Parts: sequence; structure tokens; C-alpha cells
Amino acid sequence: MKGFRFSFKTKTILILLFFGIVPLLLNGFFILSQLESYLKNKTIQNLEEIERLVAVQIEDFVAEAFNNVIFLFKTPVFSSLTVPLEEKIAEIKKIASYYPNFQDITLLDKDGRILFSSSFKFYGKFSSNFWFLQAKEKKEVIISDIYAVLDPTRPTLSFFLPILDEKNEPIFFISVQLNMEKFLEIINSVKVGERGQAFLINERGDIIAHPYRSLLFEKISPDYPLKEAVFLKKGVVEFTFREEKMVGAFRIIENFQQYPGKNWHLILAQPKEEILSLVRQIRKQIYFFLFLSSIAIALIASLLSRSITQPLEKFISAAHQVTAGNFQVQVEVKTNDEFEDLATTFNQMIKELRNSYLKLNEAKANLERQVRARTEQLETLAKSLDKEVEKRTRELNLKIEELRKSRTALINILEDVEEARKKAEEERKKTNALIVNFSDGLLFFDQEGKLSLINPQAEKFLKVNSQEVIGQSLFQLKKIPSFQPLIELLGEKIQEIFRKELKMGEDLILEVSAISVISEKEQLGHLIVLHNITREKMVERIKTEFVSLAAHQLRTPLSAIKWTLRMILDGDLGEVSPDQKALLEKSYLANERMINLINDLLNVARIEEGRYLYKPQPEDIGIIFSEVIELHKEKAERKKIEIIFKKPESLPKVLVDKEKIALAISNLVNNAIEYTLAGGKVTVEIQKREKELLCLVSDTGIGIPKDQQSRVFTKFFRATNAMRMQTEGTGLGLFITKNIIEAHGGKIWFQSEEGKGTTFYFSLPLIEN
Amino acid sequence: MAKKILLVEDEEIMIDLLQKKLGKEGYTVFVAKEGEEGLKKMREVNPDLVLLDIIMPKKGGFEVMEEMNRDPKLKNIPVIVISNSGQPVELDRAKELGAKDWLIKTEFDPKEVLEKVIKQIGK
Repeated sequence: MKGFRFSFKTKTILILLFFGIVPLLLNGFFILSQLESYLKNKTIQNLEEIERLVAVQIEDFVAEAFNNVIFLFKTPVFSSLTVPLEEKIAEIKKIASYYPNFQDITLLDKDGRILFSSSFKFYGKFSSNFWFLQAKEKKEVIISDIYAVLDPTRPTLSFFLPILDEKNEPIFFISVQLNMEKFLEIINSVKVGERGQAFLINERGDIIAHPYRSLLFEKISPDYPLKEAVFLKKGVVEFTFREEKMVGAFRIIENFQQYPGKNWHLILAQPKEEILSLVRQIRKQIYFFLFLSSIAIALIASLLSRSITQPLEKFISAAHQVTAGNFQVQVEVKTNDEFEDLATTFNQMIKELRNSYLKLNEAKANLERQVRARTEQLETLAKSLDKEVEKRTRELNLKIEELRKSRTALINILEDVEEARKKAEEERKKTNALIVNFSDGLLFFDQEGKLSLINPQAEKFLKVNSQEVIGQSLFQLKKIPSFQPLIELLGEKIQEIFRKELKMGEDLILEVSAISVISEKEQLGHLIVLHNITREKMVERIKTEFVSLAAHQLRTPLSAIKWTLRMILDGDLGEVSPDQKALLEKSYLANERMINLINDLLNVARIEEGRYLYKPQPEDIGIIFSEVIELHKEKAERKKIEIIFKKPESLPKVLVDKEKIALAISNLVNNAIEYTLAGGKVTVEIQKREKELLCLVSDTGIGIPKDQQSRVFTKFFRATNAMRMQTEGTGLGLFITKNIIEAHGGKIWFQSEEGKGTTFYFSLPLIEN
Repeated sequence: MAKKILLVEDEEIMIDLLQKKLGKEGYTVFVAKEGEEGLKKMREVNPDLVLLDIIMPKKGGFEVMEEMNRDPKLKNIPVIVISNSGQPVELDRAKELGAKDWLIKTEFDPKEVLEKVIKQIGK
């Protein structure tokens, strides 16, 4: 409300204005509305008054004519049959000359035929004239309506007078036509206001008298209430006349004194506009008056408020000056009222204030003097102190200088350290960049088994965020589903592992290596390397699928060849010569080798497809060994190689897929025989251990060169010395064997020395109780 | 009266060879080159033994055996399955469906086939 602060003066003015102008305006408008209705009524009253006089004149005019007609023509001259027609005509002529008001006097016979017309205007007959017929029927004087014969600007009125004989039957009729000029004069002379006018209309609404002759016999406007007016006899009416609103008084002229009237309407009307213009004029004057009054009131209010607020302003100005320190001020108000009293008191108060102020000043001056004296003393004291301080400062500066020197030395040392740190930092950054950008996933577990590093690749592989996992232990990490397979592979305590395959999902296969990180004989922890081999694996799978498909397709023709050759050899298809037979025998063996190769390839493909099916059943492994050895006996004998088979008396059964394990053993035994020179020895042995059976196939053969030993179990591997000795061989046997043994939960390894022999070992877990 | 063997096999040369081998031994060999035909012939000739290839166009060996098992007339005819691949799954399935014996093309020869036939139905 701060923005709308009104001064006391303004408020006073507003209040005065409100109480002065509002009632004035209300009163003004009230008067105005009263005046309007008064004026309207007055106008109507005036019209009615004039109208009444006009009506009387009209009645008199017609009644006089009536009287004359009766007086002049109801005479024996006309009614006596004895008076000849000529005399009657002479009488008419005489009357016509005396009464110029009678335009025409016509004598008619009893059927309406014209006998004589004073104006010689009329010929023919009246036999079908409406008023004539009425007069004939009613046998009394009939007055016509006002009508025009030829010139519509010259209206006329006729009387029809029947002349009756003694038997009260009409013998003649006299028609008298009135000159209506005087009648119209009555209407014309009516003057109301500037444009007020009188109308006379007949029962049908035709104008029969009006100042404008051109309007005679025209219909009055349709909004004139014709029937209502007849019913009401007189009253106020509003109607449109020549597109102008008229307000007026109407009156029905019911009779012409003692004679029956024609129900003419006499209307005195004034344009509404004219009446209103008067009202408007008055209204304008009143508005002007109101405006002047308002200004006067405003002026008075302003003056009045000033007389009230002026002393107040003086007080305010005085108070301001006092506040500013001027105690000489005096308020002068000579209004002889409460303001003057207040001024006196106010001035007194200022005087008191001035006295107190002077006393206060004196006390202040005293105090200042005392302060000055005290200050002088203090200054003296300060000067002696300054000297002491100067001395001390000099000593301090010396000390500071010393300190600065030692600081410089220190900074030099620190700079060297900083440089070293920067170098180390750079190295660290390089290493970090290496780790971050390394294409393999890297994780580092510290000695306590807590994850202390994970690079972005590893985060991607394991679908984790470094912040979530850094600092977590193996046990905690196992709870993260995407981490679980890795932790299971690593074990509870991380052991070194080398390129173990880990399937993380359909689209991600990793090769995991765990490496012990040792720095200066101290174990720091383990680095886990995750190498993405998904693509390689996919390629491998496609290759395997291809091999499998190709091998199947090869088997069919090979079987056909095998069977054919066999039947020919068996003589099923007729005699074969020994030469032929020898060749066919060789073909047969070559075909067999081919079949073996295909079978090996198929086995490899199945192993790699992961659908190398095992159906382990408890079996006596000793029996399987015996059967395999039995199959190879012939070959060994041929090569003059001794096979020794050693096994404990009784063997616990092991869970194996007989067919597959037989294949594995067969591969080992076959290799031993194959790569041992004639006269050599193959030893097959089964040993029972606590939780497993240990089987070994040992030979005195050519051995495996040391540099090739690491590749023994890989696909298509053949040792160089083996290839020299035996050209045939797929290099798949040991790969298949290893897979079979491992699929049974066993392990396979070997010891070999080139030229001395090889021993293959494999273990099979015993059935637990 | 000669024993009747129905050979259901799509491989021409195999048909040829087996027909010769078995015919020589005095068996009457009927041939069907496809499973549906095999079932039809079975009903016609009522063989003593069926040699049934597994992988054939249209109707394979397993489907033929399933149908035989549903038909009381065919149910008791002994079946020797001829497998190309010799995969354990295949052989297991054959045993399940009631095959009396099986042979793998690459690992057996006609002589062994004859032995298996004799073992089932005699000479």
C-alpha cells in the first residue's frame, strides 16, 4: 500500500468532493428524469386541450350545415305536391345563390334520377348511391362521408334529404353538397409546437382532413390503432407518419351536436423528436449546471482542505528543521482555534529542546578537552615504544634472511623430488593407457583376493561398471550373475591357469589366463587376462560343421566301395585271379584307411561341435583293455613286438562309455605298436589308486622330440620322426583320446624321450560310494 | 520254401550288392527304395525279415518302424537297421523302436550282414 499513500490534504479533498458532488449529481439526474416525464405529460395535456377545441369547431361546422339543410329544405315548397317542379327548382336556385357554402344542390326523383343540379355538374342518377339508398330506406337526412368527386384535393360532404308526402313516402330527394374549404381551414389553423399538426381520419383510416392536401384520402400509417381508438374514444397515441415517430392525442367525434356522427378520429400529433428536443435542450442545461457546480465544489473542497492542512504543513516543516538541528524555528499559526494552541505548545517544546541541546554541547566540549590531553600523553609514550620496535625489527630481519636461505635450499631438493615424481607419473600414465586400451580384458586381484583393477574391455565382457566392483572380494563378486562363471573358473583361491575357455553366453566366448604377478620375490596378486575368442570359435564351428557334413557324404560311397570289393574278394561275384585278388586286397585296405580317416574326422567334428555323446556305465576297464589288446595282437605279432598287459587281480568298475574308452585305449595301443621298431616292447598297465585308476601304455619306440612335446594333443599333430617312419596317420588320434579321457573326468599326460620310448598315462575317477 | 527278406534302402549299389549276396544264399529279396513303399511291400509280401536303412528320402527308417509298431500285422516282423553314421543316438533309437540288430555300413561287410540275417531267421 506504500505506492498509494495519500496525503491528508488529498484525503480531505476527496472526502469533500465525495460528499459534495455525489448528492448533487444524484439530485440532478433525479430532477432530469422527473422533468422529462413532466414535459411529456404537459405536451400531451396541451395537445388534448387544443384538440377538444378543434373537435367542437368541427362539430359546430357540420351541425350548422345540418341545421341549415333541414331549415331550408323541409319546407312545404318541396313537400307539397301541388307546388310545380319549376317552382321547386326556382327555390333551389334561390337557396344556392344565398348560400355559397352549398356547392351544389341537386333535386332527385324518388328513384334517384337527377331532376335538377344547381351547379350543373351532375347528370344521370344516384339510384345506386350508398347514402341515397340509406336516406331512401331510413326516410331521414343522411350525411355522407367526406369524399372527393374529381379533384382529390377538394374534398366534399353531401347531405341526402328525403321529401316525404302525407303517407310518409319519399317523393323527392334533395342532395346538398358542402363546400369544405372552411372546414379544412379549421384543421389547417391548428398550430402545435413547430411541426405539430392535426389529422382527421374516417372510420376506415383514410385521411379526410390535413394541412397537406396531397395526403388527402391516403391511409394513415398502419401502426395507428384504429379499432382501439374507437373503443377508447380518446387518449394518447404513438404512430409513424411519413417515417417519423409521432406522439399525439386522439379523440373520436361521435356526433355533431344533436346529429349522429361518423366516428371520425381527430388526432393532434407532434413529432416525438420535437418533444424530445426540448427535453434534450433542458438536459444539456442541467448538465452544464452540474458541471459548473462540481467545479465550484472542487474549488471549495480544495480551499477548505488547504485551510486545514496549512497549519499542519507548518508543523511538519518546523519538525523537520528541528530534526536538522535548527532550534530557532517558530511555528506561526493565527487561526484562533486548536491549531493555534498546538503551535504555542509546540514552540514551547522547541525552546526546551534548545536549552537541553546547549547543555549537552557544553558537556561535549569538556570531554573533548580531556581526550586531547590524554592523547598527547599517549603519543609521547608511543614514540619511545617505536624506538624499541625498530630495534627488534632489525633483529627479526636478520633471522628472516637466514630462513630464506635455508628455504631456497629446501626448494631445490623438493624440485628434484617433483621431477622424479613427474617421471613416475608419466610412466604410470603410459601403463594406465596401455591397460585401458588393451584389446584383452584385464583384471587384477590383490593378495587378499580383492579386485583392484579392471580395464574397459573386461568391464564390457563381464557387463559391470568398474565402480561397482573395484575393492570387492572374490566371494562378493560371485554374487554378480555376469561375473559368476569367471569366479567359478578361477576358484576360491586363484591358481595360475592358462588359456581356459569360458563361455559367457551365445555371443561371447573368452579365453581366460590367470598369471601370478611377482615383484622382487613378493607376490602382489593375480592378473587375469580375458581374451575374446568368440570369432575364432565361430569360424571353428563352421569348419567343424563343414567337416561333419563332408565326412557323412564321403562315408556312403566309401561303404559302397568297401562292400563291392569285399564281395568280389569273397568270390561272391565269380572267380578272381590271384593277381587281381592281390590288387583288390590293397584297394580294400586303402579304402579302410580312408574310412578310418573319415571316422576320425567325424569324431573330431563331433567333439568340437560338443555333441560327442557319452553314456557312462559301470564297466570293468580291465576287460575293455583285454579286448583292445586282443584286436591289436595280430599287428604286434606281425611287427614282432611284445605286448605285456599287467593289472591287479580285481578292479573296481568305472563309469565309462565303453565304445569311446575303447577307442581311446585303441589309439594309444595302436600308436605304441605303430611307432615302435620290430623287437620292441609295449607295456599296458592298470594301477589302482585311492580315488582313481591309473592306466599307462608304455613303449620302447622312437619317442617324441622334446621341442614338439607341447603339441602332442593338438589336432593334426604328427611328430617329425613319426612322419618319417610312417607316412599314414591323421594326427587326430591323440586329440580324440584326450577329449574322451577328459570327458570321463580323467587326465592324460605323457613322458617321452626321443629314441628311447614314450609312456602315456591316463587316469579315470573311481565310482564314489 | 525260401525265406522272404524285404530290403528298404535307397542306395542303388547297396541294393544290388545285398540282393546278390542274400539271393545267392537262397533268400527271396524284395526291394523298396523308400519308407512308404517299404510299408506297402511289407503288407503285400509279409516278409520274414526287414533290412531297413535309416536315412532315406520321404519316409525314413524310424518313421517306418513307428508305423510298424502301430500295425499289429507288421509289429512282429524282425527288423535289422542299416545305419550310415553309426552314431550312438541313432542306434539307441533303433533299439527303442524294437530293432533286433543293427549294422553300420562302413564297419560291416556283406558277409557280416549275412551272418546277422542267419542269426535272426536262419537259412
